[in-house]
Amino acid sequence: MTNPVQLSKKELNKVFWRSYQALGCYTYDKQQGISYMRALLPALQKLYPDPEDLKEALIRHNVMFNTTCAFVPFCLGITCAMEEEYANAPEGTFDPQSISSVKIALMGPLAGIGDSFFWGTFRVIACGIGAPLAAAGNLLGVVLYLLLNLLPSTLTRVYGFKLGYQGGREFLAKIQADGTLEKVTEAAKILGLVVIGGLVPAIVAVPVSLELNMGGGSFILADVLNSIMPNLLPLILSVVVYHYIQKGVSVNKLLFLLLGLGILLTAVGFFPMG
Amino acid sequence: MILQAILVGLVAGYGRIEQSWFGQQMIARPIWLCTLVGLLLGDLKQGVIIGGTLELIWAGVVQIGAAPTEVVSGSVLASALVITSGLTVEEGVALAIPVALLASVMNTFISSVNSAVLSSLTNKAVENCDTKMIWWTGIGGGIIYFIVYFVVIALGFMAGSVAIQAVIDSIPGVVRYGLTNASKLLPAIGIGILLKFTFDWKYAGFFALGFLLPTYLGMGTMGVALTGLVCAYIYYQFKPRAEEDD
Repeated sequence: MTNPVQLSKKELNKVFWRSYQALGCYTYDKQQGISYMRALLPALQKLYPDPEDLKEALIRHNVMFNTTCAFVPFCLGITCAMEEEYANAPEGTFDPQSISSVKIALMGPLAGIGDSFFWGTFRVIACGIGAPLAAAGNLLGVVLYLLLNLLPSTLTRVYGFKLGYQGGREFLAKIQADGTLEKVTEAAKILGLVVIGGLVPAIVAVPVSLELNMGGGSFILADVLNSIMPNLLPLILSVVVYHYIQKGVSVNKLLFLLLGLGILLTAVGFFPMG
Repeated sequence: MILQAILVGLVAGYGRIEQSWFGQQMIARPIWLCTLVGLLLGDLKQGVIIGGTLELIWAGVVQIGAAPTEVVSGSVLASALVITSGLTVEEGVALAIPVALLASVMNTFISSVNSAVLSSLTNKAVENCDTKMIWWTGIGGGIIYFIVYFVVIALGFMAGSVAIQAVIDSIPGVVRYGLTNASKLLPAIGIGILLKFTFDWKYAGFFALGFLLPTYLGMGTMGVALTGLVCAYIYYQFKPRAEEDD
């Protein structure tokens, strides 16, 4: 290799746009891996004109990968930069294994941060603001919901890809080494937990309607529970469900169990009819 | 009628592949899909109302990782039927829940088939250095999902406006009200999934804080999220970095 092969704006743009199809082929064994490889194709084809080299690169990327979608461009940027480095490095000076290990090192922490931010925070804030407006028939609620989700995710994608390609690996190694990454992950977890705690009373309800007449005085179960602590049953239910999910009980099974429970408790008069 | 069914099917197909082809930007949700249905069927306002209502009910149902819970088919079918066949919003919501359950079973099935077929096709393509094939397998999951959702929801809609009302009426009251009551319990599953990803006894106090704010102070979701940001900020500022620890 005499002339250095450089990725141009054209290939990089193609890779960026293909990042939107990161879940285009979600398989149980490789998760986003196949789609990640598909996104890289424009860069790999440019860097490795020799089919043997290209095949080697494809084998390298035909592996499991999974993270929060909005962070996929950041990872792709880093992979592009590293593949470019490898393609131009003299024989034996650059271990291609490091390309895969950086990918794998990235996906876990990024998924932890990303799920807290995008599923746990932006979406929740957008829903908190947008859904009540929409439920009252105001189109503005829908517009706000879209903006509050699309804006942070689009910015993360565009700047993440740039940052990843231009030295993201050094940046990441630095914040990982000095402990900033761990701090950010933990701070994101804390944010997520506060939000999730607040979601319990907002979205879970246990509609007890049991009333008993006992010699003149009436016993209203909901009032008794309320005087112990409001939202007590939703909290207990959420914690119990979490316990079973943690134990590996499938979500589908839990869905059917709760449906059955709802019908059963309605039939025995614990829950209201109508 | 056929045209309406096609439009409803298209929204359902789009809703399912939003995550596959359009980056999973958290918008394949009732609030946006029902609005689209309303727009296409000529009653934007009803679409917005049922979308907002379902969004509030399903706020905690999120698709993290391979969790099969889904909100697309229920949202699309329910809003379409509310708009075209005069169901009330409440009846539409009650209908959306069993539909969503059936769809999540269907989803699990398609995902398994997808996984097996696309994985082996890709392995063969890598072996032959067939980049065209990888282009296709890399988005292939979306194609299959789109077709299945388009067909199933369009057919459901066509059967629905005639038959679903009768089906709902024929359901015994205990089951009908039981399902409505159960739908209030179901968001606990969403909470459980989110906790699985974030819960740690070290930070349990923050979960408790989030729970207590609306319970005793009546704070809204927005206020809780902002308080969470403040907590995260304080933690970030005061926690020394690992290398500064002694």
